[in-house]
Amino acid sequence: MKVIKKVNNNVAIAINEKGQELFVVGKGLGFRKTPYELDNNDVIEKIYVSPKNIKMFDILNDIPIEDICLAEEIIQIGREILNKELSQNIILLLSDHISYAIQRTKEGEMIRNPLEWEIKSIYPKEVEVGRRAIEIIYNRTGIELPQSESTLIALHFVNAQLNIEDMKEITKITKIIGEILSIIKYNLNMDFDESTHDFTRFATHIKYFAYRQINNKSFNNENESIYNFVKDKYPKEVNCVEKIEKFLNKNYDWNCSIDEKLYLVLHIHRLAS
Amino acid sequence: MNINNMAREIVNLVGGIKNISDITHCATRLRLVLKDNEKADIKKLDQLEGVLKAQYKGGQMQIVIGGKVGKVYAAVIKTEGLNRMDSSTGNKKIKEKNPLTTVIETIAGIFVPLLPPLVGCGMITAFVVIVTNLGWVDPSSGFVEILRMIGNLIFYFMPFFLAVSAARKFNTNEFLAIALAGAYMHPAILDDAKAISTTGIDMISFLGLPILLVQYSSSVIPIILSVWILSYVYRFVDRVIPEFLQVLLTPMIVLFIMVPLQLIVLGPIGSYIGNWLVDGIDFLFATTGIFAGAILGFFRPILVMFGMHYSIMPMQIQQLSATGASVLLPSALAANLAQAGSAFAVFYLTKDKTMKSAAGSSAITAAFGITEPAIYGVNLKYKRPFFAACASAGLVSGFFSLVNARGTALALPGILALPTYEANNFIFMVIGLVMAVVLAFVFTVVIGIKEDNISNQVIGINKGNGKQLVIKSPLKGIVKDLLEVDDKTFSQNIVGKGVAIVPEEGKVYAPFDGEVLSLFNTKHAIGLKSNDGVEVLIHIGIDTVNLAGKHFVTKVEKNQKINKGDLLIEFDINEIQKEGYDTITPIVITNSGDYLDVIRVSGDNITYNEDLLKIFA
Repeated sequence: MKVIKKVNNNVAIAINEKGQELFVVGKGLGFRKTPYELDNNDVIEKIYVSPKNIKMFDILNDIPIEDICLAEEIIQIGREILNKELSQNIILLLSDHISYAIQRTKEGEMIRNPLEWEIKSIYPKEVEVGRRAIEIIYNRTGIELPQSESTLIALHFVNAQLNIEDMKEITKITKIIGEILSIIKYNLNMDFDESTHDFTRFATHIKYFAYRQINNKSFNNENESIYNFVKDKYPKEVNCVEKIEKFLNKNYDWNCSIDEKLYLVLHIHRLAS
Repeated sequence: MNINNMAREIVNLVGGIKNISDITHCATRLRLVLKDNEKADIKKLDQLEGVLKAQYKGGQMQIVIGGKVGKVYAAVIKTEGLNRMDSSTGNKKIKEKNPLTTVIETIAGIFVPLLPPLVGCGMITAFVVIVTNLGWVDPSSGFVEILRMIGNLIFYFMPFFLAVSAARKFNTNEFLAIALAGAYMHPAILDDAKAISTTGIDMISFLGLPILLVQYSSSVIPIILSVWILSYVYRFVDRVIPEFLQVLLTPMIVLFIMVPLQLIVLGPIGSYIGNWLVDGIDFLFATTGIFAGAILGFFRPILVMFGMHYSIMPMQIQQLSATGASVLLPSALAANLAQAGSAFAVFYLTKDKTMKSAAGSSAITAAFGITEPAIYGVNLKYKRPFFAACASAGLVSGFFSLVNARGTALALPGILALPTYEANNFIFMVIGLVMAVVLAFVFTVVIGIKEDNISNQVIGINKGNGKQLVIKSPLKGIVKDLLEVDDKTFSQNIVGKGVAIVPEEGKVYAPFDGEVLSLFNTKHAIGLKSNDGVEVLIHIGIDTVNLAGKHFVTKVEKNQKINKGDLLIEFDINEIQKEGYDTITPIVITNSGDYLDVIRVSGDNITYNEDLLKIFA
């Protein structure tokens, strides 16, 4: 592929045979005078792809290189903590975000994330990455981002794992999960202790329930008789789940299969006891 | 600023929805890709109330809003009809749009706005047919002549109507589109086309290229093609010509390109396609006879469901203007009357009172040709009646083909339009019509309908003992409806029925004797249970869980017994508001399901220990 612009000594922009703009990281990639044809692909340590609607050049013109390198470091930590494949376009979105977060903090602007509680509850590992990110940024630049940033950065990592390019999808899903958790919390007068393992398992179940709904991969309707039995045994939990079903149906057009409702009831009952 | 107003302002300041090519958002910013960045007023956007900053970055217009961005995005999408850009999470399976679907939807979209004149002219034609057939007026009178003209005008001038609608669909200049329609229908072309049989001249030479003389009046496809191409040509020319010359040069150049193009290429193509369609359908009917009719009849209601019946409309119009009658229309009659028959059956079968009246009234409107209430409101709900109607429509349409039925006017296919139909013997039309209704009725009754929402679960009533309980207010402040709370789990009564209070004082007192059911460790909400068994949740502020307890002080513990008037929680209203939170406090009865109803009984202002809610047990 052809390397066309230097970002710093080890980071550059390249174009592959398909004409796609790529962001490549590797020792000395940016050192040689651009443009040049890269013969040895082994030098490349990482490749990132530009997300839809964002022009590589334009973004890089606006984001300071240090911020891009910060993002790179944070992504590395993210890979270690999460131990998962991260989508290739995270670098640009994250650099853009970090650059802007630093600017905001310098100017003293506070932005509140209304999904803070939800993100902390549902994505604890990613929030951990976010906290480390704040540390890294402080160490490198002396600027301390407010703790709420950890949840915003966390969302980028959630996105990257799910390979969703669009932030709005994940914020919507997160909000829905938060609403489900709220309904359960207040309906059954249950206070969640987000630090417990039980809660994490519960939140994870709700999270994957939401993902299944979105991908239309719900569980089936094979356990109708068990559900009816459970209706008598755990009336409060069933009542709660039916409220959730009505809420999801009304607001998001989601339908809950009987099996899904059954699992929800059992999970809720477990958490309540 | 109100979210909806903000959304409208933003759309205005970025140059209108037509200037938005793509819109999305991240956690704090609206990100727009604009077609023309010059059209956006970045300065004003930056100063807009609620916008922290507006800037260009990475080829995108970024508007920083903060936490509310999700809501603003939703408002922009909703108010400005940008739904097509919103890939919503939800049940909508991402349908792979194949080209055929797109074409069909486009044509449907172009014809829908034409409905008023189409229906109006159609009804007038029907009227003329009725009165002349009944012998009430002299067919050669001026009265009939004028009425016929009214009924015919939409077909004669069809290209003009379609030009406007297509221009809106393809997002281009309506008046240039009308100019193109004019080019098709100008006497210079039209008269010469009409005279082909006498003069033998069937084309004009334009710089050596042939302009085929075609009668474009009442044509459909040529003008749609033209306007579609116009949208591209116009954009191209607009881009190429420097701004200060645009007013002068753009329209001239566009017309200079488009008119010859359409007369030499697009028009003839379009008219050939139109002719093939008609020939094709004729062929279908001629060779497969009854089956063609039956198939069309069966699928009619399904086509209506997808709005695709409009894609047949060009064919019907073509046939009508070419031969004076259309063999496609009887199937529409059959389909509509069949839906009416099914709806009648539902009326007869259902035990649900609301459904009964809906079925009855929609059956009647369907019989007159308006089938949407019957289809969407009744038949599709139960599914089986819908398919019973399709079956009946199929059979009756087959019968219609057998008797050579055809419609002579584009009247709304219903009972009143009967006179506009002809067949080998008119009595067959009546037979067919009655059959459509009866067959659908019978099929539906035989298959039956599955009613699963039998009677409303009347748990509350069972528990009813006529008792009434009064809940006093735990707060001092202004009482608001739960609907006004900006959190769906409360405003939609999901957590329970109740009311909300905007507190003036940061103190929550126990409204009754009872116990503390739950005290959330974030201290922003408390659940109580009265000795009478009423469970109340007091949730201070919206999203305040994020404060993690800051600015809240609890005075009681979980499971603690409380007495009316005990101080439960203290909170700092000012500090909470300073942090950006809304302090409106929902007070809901979490076990509302156990009661008949929960009603607000207070005025707008309230203080501690005044009556707030009444519960009907």
